Amino acid sequence: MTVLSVDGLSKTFDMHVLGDTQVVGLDDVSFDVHDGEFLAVVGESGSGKSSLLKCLYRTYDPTAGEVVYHGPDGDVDLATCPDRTVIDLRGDTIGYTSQFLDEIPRVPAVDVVARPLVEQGTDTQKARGRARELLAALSVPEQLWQAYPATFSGGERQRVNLAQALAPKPELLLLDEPTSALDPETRQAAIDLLSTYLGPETTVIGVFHNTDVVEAVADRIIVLDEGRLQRVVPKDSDNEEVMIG
Amino acid sequence: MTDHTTTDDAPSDDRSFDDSAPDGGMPVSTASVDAALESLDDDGLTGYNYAYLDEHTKREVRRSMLKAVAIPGHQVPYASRPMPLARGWGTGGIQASLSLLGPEDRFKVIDQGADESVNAANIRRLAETTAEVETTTDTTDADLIQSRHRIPEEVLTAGQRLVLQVPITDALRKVDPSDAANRRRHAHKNYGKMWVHLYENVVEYGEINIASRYPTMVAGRYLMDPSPIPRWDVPKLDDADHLTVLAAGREARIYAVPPHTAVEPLAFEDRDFTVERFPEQACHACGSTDTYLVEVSEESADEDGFETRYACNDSSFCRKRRENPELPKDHHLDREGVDWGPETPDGDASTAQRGGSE
Amino acid sequence: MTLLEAENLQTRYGPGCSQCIASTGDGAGTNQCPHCDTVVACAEADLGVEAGEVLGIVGESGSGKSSLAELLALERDEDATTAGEVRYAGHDGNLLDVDYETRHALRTGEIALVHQHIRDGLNLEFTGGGNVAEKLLSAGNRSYEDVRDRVRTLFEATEIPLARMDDPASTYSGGMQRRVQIARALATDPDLIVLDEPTTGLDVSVQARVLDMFRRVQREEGVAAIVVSHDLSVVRLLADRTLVMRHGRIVESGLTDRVMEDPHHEYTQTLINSVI
Repeated sequence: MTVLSVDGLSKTFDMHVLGDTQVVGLDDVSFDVHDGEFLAVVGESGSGKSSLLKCLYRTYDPTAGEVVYHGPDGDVDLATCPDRTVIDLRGDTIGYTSQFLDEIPRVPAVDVVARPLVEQGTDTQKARGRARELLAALSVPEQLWQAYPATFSGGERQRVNLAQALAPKPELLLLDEPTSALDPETRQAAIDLLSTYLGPETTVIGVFHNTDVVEAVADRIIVLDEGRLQRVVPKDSDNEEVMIG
Repeated sequence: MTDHTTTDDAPSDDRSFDDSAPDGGMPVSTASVDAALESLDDDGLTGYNYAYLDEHTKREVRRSMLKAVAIPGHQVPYASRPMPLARGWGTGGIQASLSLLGPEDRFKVIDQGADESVNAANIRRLAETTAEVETTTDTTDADLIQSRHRIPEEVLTAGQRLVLQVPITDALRKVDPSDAANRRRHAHKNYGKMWVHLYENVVEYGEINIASRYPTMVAGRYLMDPSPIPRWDVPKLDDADHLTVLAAGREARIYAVPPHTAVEPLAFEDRDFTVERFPEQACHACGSTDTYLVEVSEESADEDGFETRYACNDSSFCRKRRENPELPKDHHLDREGVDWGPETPDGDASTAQRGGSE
Repeated sequence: MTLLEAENLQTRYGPGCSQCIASTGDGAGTNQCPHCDTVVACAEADLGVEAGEVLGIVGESGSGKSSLAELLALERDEDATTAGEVRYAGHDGNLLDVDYETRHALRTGEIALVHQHIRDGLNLEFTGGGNVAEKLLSAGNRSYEDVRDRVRTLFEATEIPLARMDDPASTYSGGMQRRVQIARALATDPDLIVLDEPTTGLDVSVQARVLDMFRRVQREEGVAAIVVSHDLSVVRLLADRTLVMRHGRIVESGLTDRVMEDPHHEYTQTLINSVI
């Protein structure tokens, strides 16, 4: 079953500060995403991977095209629906995390991770319990749980970030290089967690740099090049050259 | 004292001292002060109008009183005149009294419950000489009572008028010195700040601890400063048979509580308004336990210092009680059990002496 | 559910003329009418706030954001000429036209304003608790214990030490005073809080804690908020949607992350690129 249909998605930036130049981010990208699938997006730096996720999450306003989400309440075109519909869908329906943690300073790590759950209505103590489990699974040292992430190393912050994104188990999870700063050991822990914690009801679209992550988790791979969809590679294909991150 | 001619407000003609000056405005023309004093052939009142104030002033004061009665609890400005005593000594009360008095009236003046104080005696004498009224110290016998800081213990009746002297007119000044801001609050019945004052009172003392000038709602509309009467007297204003006029000379404001007006001291549902308590105390002179008592220090008999005793604050009623200790506060009425301030304690001081705060 | 809807809001200082609107704004590059010198603080502003939503308004000083916020909070500036329409769920007619009593009732019960300047919003001679209690007492609560309980709950929610509840607000730190303001705003369970420059006068170390507290309480209570700030990071942390103002006009609006990461308007792009 298709959960997301992307059709002719394009994004052009009008850079007024650069003398009204136009920068093309995405050009006529179309693909489908299946229910419960783990779709990996790969491509060179600047190929439009992050732009694609941001267009899906509406952090970027698509210039043209459709992003139809086939939700339980009917179809919604994420490219054109009102801002308020997007706000409603964000959270427990569509989750997103970038590679950088973006949080209020001076909030302890455990509360950063628990926040989306609390906002969904989970009891604070229960949400903190879940947060601790996730932080433990991602091997964040326990003495850091009550510390402020602003003081953490890049890898530690990324783990907190990933834990926060996973916590509410959204139906569609958009991950933008969530493991880029992790050492191989922690990256493996993250990969394990993605498959064990999320379960089959969560559909994931993830941008990854690392071949081993893609190999470990992806059901299909789409390859972007200069904002265009170059090809879609099914899982277990022998095509090694797609891993160009 | 100008050349206004008295018209409709002129009192009856049975006066003898102002034939030459119907409007009270004729200057004495002499060469020197000695000669002026020499020329006086009466007690010095020549040139003064009936009841000291000129008719114009009295009319002004009466108009303000009428407006005050029409808007119970609302402070009405009036043109307060200089009086032959310093402002703050009851000049507002005197102007109200002299504007109300007629020659048929009997006038009583009390100062903190006493008829004998110098100030009360002087005001009484001014009214006697200028308004030709009879004076009395008996509350039940008076038509008009001017008072500072007390309401008499004996029940006031429908024909009686009570004038209270007021030093500070606005209850809200306690919480905000800006009269302009307070006028706006009155206009919009916005008394949140006063409630915070009460709230902080309870926080600090466990109860509302305001000794006098207790903030009081009149007719459910205006917050009123009932003048520095003790809390003991505040419930007497509620649904009273008599008219109360409150007048301030320095601040030039008059306000009123007409008969049968709801007067409710501010209090919380769970923190009652309470009156002063005198547990186990009685007046040393008359033995009363249901009157407002004050401490008096007297040299003790054995000459080794002072002793503190309690005495009725209302000296005229105390005198009656000494003759007849059983005399009820409503002895002069046809009905009995009239609700007039705190009740006689029945031994349980905490409940029996509680005032009405419904 | 739409809580508040505003249309064509306008605040101007000066006599005004027929060309004021056409001669000011983003295209004209000024908020002062060249014909009559009237300052058009804000004009042609349309917006809506959903129940429970946080709307951010950003712009530099003089962009009109505070004028717009004042209109939305039904705060009246006697020197200004105002126009437009504010509709509010459950009330008929234009809220800008209501009499003092209705406005006071709305401001006591349903729409709370947290002033930029603490002195405008608090009575520093009163205790911290008394400042919060005032809101409840003004709304007609007459039970001392109920008021006390509610104040205690609000102190806990806004993370002010209960031990300081009965101390004069003048003895509080700036961060605590801001919390008292927020506790006071929340006291009568309003549907909408207008927060004007919530970090003004706070140490950087305190700003974050206050913003985090506000965000938590805002979600817990489900109260909608309009957050006005010149500081993009404040709006970024709190607001679901954001309006960008310049020269008295709304030049851009949208999801907060969209405005920050994919700004369309030239001015917004400059603003985003100016963040240190």
